[in-house]
Amino acid sequence: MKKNLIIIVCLSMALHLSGCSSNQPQSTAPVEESSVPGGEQPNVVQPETPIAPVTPPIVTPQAQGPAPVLAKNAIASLTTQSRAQYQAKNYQAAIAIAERGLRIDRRAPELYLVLAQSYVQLANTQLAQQFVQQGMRYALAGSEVAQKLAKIKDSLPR
Amino acid sequence: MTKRRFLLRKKNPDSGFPVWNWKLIGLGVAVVFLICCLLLGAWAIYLDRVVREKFDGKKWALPSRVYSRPLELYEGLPITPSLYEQEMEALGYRTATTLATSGQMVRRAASSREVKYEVFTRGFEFWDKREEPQKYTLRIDEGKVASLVDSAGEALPLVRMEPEEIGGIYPNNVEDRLLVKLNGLPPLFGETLLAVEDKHFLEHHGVSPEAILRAMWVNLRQGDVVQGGSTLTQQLVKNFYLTQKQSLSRKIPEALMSLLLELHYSKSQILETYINEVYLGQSGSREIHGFALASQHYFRKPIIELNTQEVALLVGLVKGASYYNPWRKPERAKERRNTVLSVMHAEGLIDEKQMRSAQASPLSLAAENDESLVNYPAFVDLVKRQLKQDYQEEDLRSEGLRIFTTLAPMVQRQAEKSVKARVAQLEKQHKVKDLQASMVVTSVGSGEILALIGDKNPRFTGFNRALDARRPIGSLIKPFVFLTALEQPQTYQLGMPLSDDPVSIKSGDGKMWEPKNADNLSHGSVPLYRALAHSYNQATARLGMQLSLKAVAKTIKAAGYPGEVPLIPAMLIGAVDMSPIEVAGTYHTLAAEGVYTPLHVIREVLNAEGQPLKRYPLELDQRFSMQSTFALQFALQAVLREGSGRSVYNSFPESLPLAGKTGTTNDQRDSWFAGFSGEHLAIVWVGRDDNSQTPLTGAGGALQVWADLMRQLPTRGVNQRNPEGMSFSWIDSQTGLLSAEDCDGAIWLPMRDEYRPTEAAECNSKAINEEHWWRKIFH
Repeated sequence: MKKNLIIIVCLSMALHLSGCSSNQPQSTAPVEESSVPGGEQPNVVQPETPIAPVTPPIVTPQAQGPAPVLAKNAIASLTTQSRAQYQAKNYQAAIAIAERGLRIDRRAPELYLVLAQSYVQLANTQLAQQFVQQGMRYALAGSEVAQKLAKIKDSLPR
Repeated sequence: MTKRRFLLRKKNPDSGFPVWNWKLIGLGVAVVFLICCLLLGAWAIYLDRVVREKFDGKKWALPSRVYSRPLELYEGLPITPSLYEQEMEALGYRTATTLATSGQMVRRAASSREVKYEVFTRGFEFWDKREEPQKYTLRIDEGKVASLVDSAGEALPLVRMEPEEIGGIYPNNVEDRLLVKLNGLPPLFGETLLAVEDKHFLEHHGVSPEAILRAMWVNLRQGDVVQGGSTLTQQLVKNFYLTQKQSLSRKIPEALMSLLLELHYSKSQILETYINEVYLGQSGSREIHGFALASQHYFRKPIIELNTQEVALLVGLVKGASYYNPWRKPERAKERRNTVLSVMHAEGLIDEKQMRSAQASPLSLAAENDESLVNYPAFVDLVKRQLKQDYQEEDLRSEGLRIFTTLAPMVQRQAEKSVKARVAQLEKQHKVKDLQASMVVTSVGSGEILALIGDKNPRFTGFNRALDARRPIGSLIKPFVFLTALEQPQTYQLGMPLSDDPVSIKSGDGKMWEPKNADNLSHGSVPLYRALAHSYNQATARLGMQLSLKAVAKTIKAAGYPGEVPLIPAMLIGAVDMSPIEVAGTYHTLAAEGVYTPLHVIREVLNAEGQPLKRYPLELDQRFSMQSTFALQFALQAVLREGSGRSVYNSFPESLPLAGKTGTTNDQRDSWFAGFSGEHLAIVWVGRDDNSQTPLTGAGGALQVWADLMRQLPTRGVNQRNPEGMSFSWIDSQTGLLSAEDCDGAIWLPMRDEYRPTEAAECNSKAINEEHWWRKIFH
């Protein structure tokens, strides 16, 4: 991280010295007149009031990364079950199980893949498209899941 | 005999009474007899039809049952021992020293944070499959499930607990029952019931003359009705077909119908119907019928799990559920229970030692239910509204549907505590009365509503503020103004300077609108994200007018607001009325990184036989780019790190990234807060029903309720991973140009790579080098 910072600083200094930067968009908004009628004008105030807890905290919530790695067994199990239902052409069951998995980890790309594939089979291309898009958000670039999702995307009507 | 001869002699034709007269009388009698027989036959045919129609048809109008979401246990699940135990208690699990039967759990605490549980589940028929009863061992440590194994010590990937029944949609007569088959009864149950209520049930044909004569004799001796001679079949006929009125005119059809019932149906069919029909108590206006529901009502456990003394109590209640009410008359109920235990012993069902032990045991009742028909009235209200879009009211009341919802009882309980305690504390602190509050909690991503509160008294059934109180949302609107800007990254980025100078806008009626900041100060040029973090009205109004009212309104609608947005300048700082659930719908899109998902409360509906009727599948639609929502989430995190809601981190660990926005309306009539983690979104409103002034701002009221909830909820932070095409840079807060960490006024912001400034600002070294909050949590 520090290395990146040094590069950024050096780059910015170099750009500054060379004077080859572009202008920034300005937001010096002029006072505008509105042609639509005015209405209620809420005066929004936000004073700071210190919080006095009613009860002492019993939980220290954990900051965690986007993928709850510890749920991987649960996700793997549900992915297998969902995949099995898909293979058996029980698409509604495959969808129900995949959704169950997404309630545990909404960033599990393999579950979006089963959903997309199931909706393709159910001829619901709109939802298939959405699940492909979601899966691609969370799939590692170049992974097998990403490739399969991309393939479905290409096969769907635009 | 002599007298008889005399009489005969008198009737002799020689006495002057013609023979044909006798024949006529005989004929008349025969005709009358025949008519009587015909009438009796017709009546019997009619009764036979009545008996068979009801018995063969749908016996009862069955209420729809509403279930919470099932708790899914897996390694890594954030949960605390106390939350887990509350959930298990609500499901009726009993703590034991060793696992003997389903519905038990053993608790072994290593410390206050590390607890091990051995559990014997009950199993449950879900929409997709039946979960069989199983034993598992769960270890909770440091606020999450550390391990989950089966009885052989093998790792279990997942355990799905049975859901909590959270309410019902009842028939108009408010009769409630859970159906049970004879093979679903615990040992000794049938024998005990027959021993107490009808010893000769298996021998008689519906009516027992012996029992009637015995009862008559006892009643005559006592001079009062102290004993009944009704068989169990007659009791069923009385409850099932007739009225409760005690009269001879009712006794005759009762006897006849009992004979007919026994003629057509087997003893086991009659007994099973009786077990499901009998009245066994009252919960408010709800009538408790059948032993299966009575078991849940009095012991909060399935009937199959009842022990000897519990069986005896329920059987004893048949004699008079109200008279022997075990909560109100525990001594009387205990005496009755012990009488039944004596009968069980006398009949050889239990030995003396068992009888003595059972008679010495306490009643072991569950806590008495409050008298409301549903535990979570605001949530169930929303369930009903959504169901009515797909089902007839009559079907909901009578078809025994099983409705699986999204309610998370542990979240709901924490939300209720937070609202109740904090509103009471605010009323006391500010010496005011009549504050009201509502709250909506959803899971982020699925759009499932986890908790809903429509009143500061969460058990109150009535006006549902979470759904029906539409109020101006104040500054909660501002993120949508900024999102509209961030969706145009070629023009607007978080670091660009925005003027917070006074702004004057001419309205359609010719009047000038001049919004002021809360502190009545102007802040000059501020970075765009800071204008949102500090909720500057002047900067927001200026930005909104630059973008156009229509563009901002379009964003609000795209985020999921179903109503019309008034196209007036004041809309930009909150002159839009929304209900808490509508706010939740729009903020869910912000929390879910730009993906719109309709909020919903129902997952599945099954019919009474367990066949799926309808699924409510996950639907989603990408409405905003990942990059713009990531930038917006950054600004909303800044609200809590350095802006109008920064007091929240007085009670949260800095390592937990949270995002949100405060909102306050004119004269502090409404106090709002909308905030989210990576898993939970919660919207809170606090105000008064008459829309009068309160002493509360968004930060002073609603934010505090929100913080109380989130503090108790194990959750994960907001996503910190920047999407593709976006990275962090040091930006000069004055100019929006590139800067460096050590430069004065440098801020660390996520920028679109494509539109990153290429020019660097002049760098003056910072006097104090303070690490930026984002970098603290990122490392």
